[in-house]
Amino acid sequence: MKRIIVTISQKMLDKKSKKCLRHSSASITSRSSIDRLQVSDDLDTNVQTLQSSLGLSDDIVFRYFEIASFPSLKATIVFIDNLIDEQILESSVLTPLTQGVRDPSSEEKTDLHASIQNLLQRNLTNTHIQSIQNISIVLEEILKGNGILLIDGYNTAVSISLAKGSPRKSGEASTEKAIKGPQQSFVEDYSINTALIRQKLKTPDLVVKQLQLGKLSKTEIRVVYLQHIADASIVREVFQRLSRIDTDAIKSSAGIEEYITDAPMGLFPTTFYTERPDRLQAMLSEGRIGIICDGTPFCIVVPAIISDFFICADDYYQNPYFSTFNRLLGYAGGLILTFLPAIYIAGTTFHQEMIPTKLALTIAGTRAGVPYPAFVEALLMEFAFEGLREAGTRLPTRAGQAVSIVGALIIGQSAVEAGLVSPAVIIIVATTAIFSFTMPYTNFSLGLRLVRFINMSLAAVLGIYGIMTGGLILLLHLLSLRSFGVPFMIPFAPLSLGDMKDWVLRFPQWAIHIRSPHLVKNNMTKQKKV
Amino acid sequence: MMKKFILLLLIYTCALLTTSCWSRREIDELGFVLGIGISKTEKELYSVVVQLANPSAIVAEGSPSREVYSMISSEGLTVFDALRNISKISARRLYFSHLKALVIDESVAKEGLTEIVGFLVQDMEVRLESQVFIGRQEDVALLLDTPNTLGQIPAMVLSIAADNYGANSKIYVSDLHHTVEVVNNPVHNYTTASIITEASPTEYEKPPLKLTSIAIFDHDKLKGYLDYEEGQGFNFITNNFKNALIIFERKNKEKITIEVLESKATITPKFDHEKVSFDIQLKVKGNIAERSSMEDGMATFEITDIQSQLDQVLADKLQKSITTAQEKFKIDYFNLSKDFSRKYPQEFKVLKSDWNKVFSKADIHVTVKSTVIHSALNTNRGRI
Repeated sequence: MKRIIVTISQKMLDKKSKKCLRHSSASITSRSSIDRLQVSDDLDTNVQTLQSSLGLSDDIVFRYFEIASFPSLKATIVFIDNLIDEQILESSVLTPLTQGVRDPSSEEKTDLHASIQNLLQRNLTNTHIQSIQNISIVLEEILKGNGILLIDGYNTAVSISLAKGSPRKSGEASTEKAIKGPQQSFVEDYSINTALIRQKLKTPDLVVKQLQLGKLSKTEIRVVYLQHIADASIVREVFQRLSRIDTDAIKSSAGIEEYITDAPMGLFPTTFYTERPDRLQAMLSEGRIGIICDGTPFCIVVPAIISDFFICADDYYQNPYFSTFNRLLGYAGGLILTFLPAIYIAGTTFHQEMIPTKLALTIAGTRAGVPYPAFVEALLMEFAFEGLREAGTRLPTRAGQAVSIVGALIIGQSAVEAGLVSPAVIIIVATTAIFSFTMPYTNFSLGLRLVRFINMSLAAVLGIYGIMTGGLILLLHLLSLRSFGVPFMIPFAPLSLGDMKDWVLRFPQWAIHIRSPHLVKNNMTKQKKV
Repeated sequence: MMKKFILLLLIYTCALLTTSCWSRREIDELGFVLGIGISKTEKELYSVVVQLANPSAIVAEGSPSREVYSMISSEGLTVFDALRNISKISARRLYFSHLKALVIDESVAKEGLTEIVGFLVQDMEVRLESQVFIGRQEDVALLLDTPNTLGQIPAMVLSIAADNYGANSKIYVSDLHHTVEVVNNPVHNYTTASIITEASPTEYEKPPLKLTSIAIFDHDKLKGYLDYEEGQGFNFITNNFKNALIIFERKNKEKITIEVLESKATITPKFDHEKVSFDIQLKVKGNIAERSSMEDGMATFEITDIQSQLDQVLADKLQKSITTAQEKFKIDYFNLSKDFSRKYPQEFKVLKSDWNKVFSKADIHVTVKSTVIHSALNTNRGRI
């Protein structure tokens, strides 16, 4: 039954989205026509109306049953999967209505309307029950997490409070911590994740589509997006790429990322991930598409741009000036991470004239007695740091501390005292290390960390010229990247000053009126200009 | 695909191999030359002494002041030859990019700078921002080997003192770039500061280096030195006067110190009936920095009086400097020829060959317009 409904609604969606593309105002008119629509007394009509507004999503449940009255009445209860508490539904709605209905007396049967009201009053054991005539309010109630009871021949919908409250098992954000913001994070269960998003975007526009990937694992995948905001062609592309995945098992969302990314052999990710529902909410309203994968507490977001990796969720809960500073610090950190060790090598082995005299003398003084060239020295220390970091990440917390003490004492202090490395190199490596952690999302900085080694080698052979060459290759690679057709380097290239307001700087929320034209084709206005 | 790959590889290899960047050298293996002293021996050989920084002593804590540098000297047929001969002695490869001070012996300067400057310009390592000094003592090596208790390398001391010349504006230091420009232009006359060592103020202190008077050159040959007043006049006319002091005495024996804030000289050359003349208009802004009143109680004065007296003092300074140039040295060390050649390029071509003579006969008219912006800022308006 459900399958059929889905196919019907999909056809409807296709028609609708085509209309949307032709005419951006079409969605608005259809929305206002729903506002005026009343609940009819025909059950099928009501179900169809609701399906046309919500039916795109796969987590809407239409539960058909018959009320065991005499004569029996056809009824449907509509709700969103996982937003409601199924136990309450069973015990207070389904069981009382399908079994042992306390039937109204025979004389009351003449007035159907009164009799149904009577029936509900006697049988529904819920605390909150509300009769609704208007379809738009019906939709609202469904999205809030209430169940809607529709009865054939009865032109009133009954909203029954079944909401679960906040999902029981949402986790605490561990990789994307926010000081002032919500502490919620996604969990391994995909249906809870969907519910978290449903709670944050209570609009019928939020579409939740379900897929199954992996021939053996049969992993449930849910694609979420905002219907009238997300670019329909990108949505189509996402489904196409997902449908092309032909593998036996999906282990986690990272596996899906590898299959759908634009540059499968590239050093940098063209998909973004987040574990924060509030971040996903913000990105969906920017016109992005989220992919929730069962078993992973991270949600994939496409299309991704370079700025995403420098934006931290906490930015939006802090003072805009400070957040802007933080963001610029992140970008500067990226440059420092990629180029600082290389510049040190080039400066000390080729371009001593470029270093201010006193600094040159100090570096020369501290390097006196170091037995190998600056390149080997820097490379050794960078490797030592990477090893230390890896050890610290993999080991349990307590052992990790021991590793850092050993690293700080033995590698840091003793190596300098023994004259094996110069203090200047320690400072360079430490600065690089610190700035590699200023970027909130590691998968982008991982690429830069590798590029750093290439740059160091080039600097050791060719000096500044080598760094320029390395930088140019890096830049060309980044500029050629696209994520689902969207240039990866926006807002830098193509230069988009309007988008820089939110993606490079952090303007106050009220100052950002439109969505990025690179991501969204219609429904550009976010809010009216004040 | 394969063809494309090979092509790319070829392009990369070519790009990498044609860089001419093979001069890799570790920073700790370099001998940083901060100062060079050039003199001549009796056998007419060039004697060059280099001052090398000793980085490990600079970094080390509490090292004796003499250890922060070392001196090496050598002789050769040319300056370059002498420097190359140093490689027979030096423990490190000499590196000239951080050269701060070039000290030229008086006797060498008298013979002309052209021969010396040639190497420094043609060698790609030397940067043109290093400063040039004339050593007024017997031995240039001794002049450079003047340790101080601050642990600074003498060549650095020279460079710092030269950067601060504006505080007195009695001297003027040319950098290597200016030196090269002047040496290459036969009409221009060169000027730069000279250095001597002074007697130490106390027996515990070491004798310090001192930048003294401006050395005057006839093109590139040393001719003489200016005194401090002429030096200030020179700096006013060449627009090199920074925030130095002008001190004069009023009729009532009161001493006024003016600190110059801005100074701008406008030179207008004229060529009339085969006669060259210049109009020098000097505009000076300053404030009263110090005033020692001889009177009791409130002593007021008119600021216009001070201004007109300052005008006179400045005009005298300039006049003295001009008179020295025209009558004593007969050298256009202000390089007024630049202004003249810009306005009268055709006429200058004729006069060029004998410009110093033309200059010394030229009529130079000086007008000074000074403004005293405010007196010192205490409530007594400059009085104590």
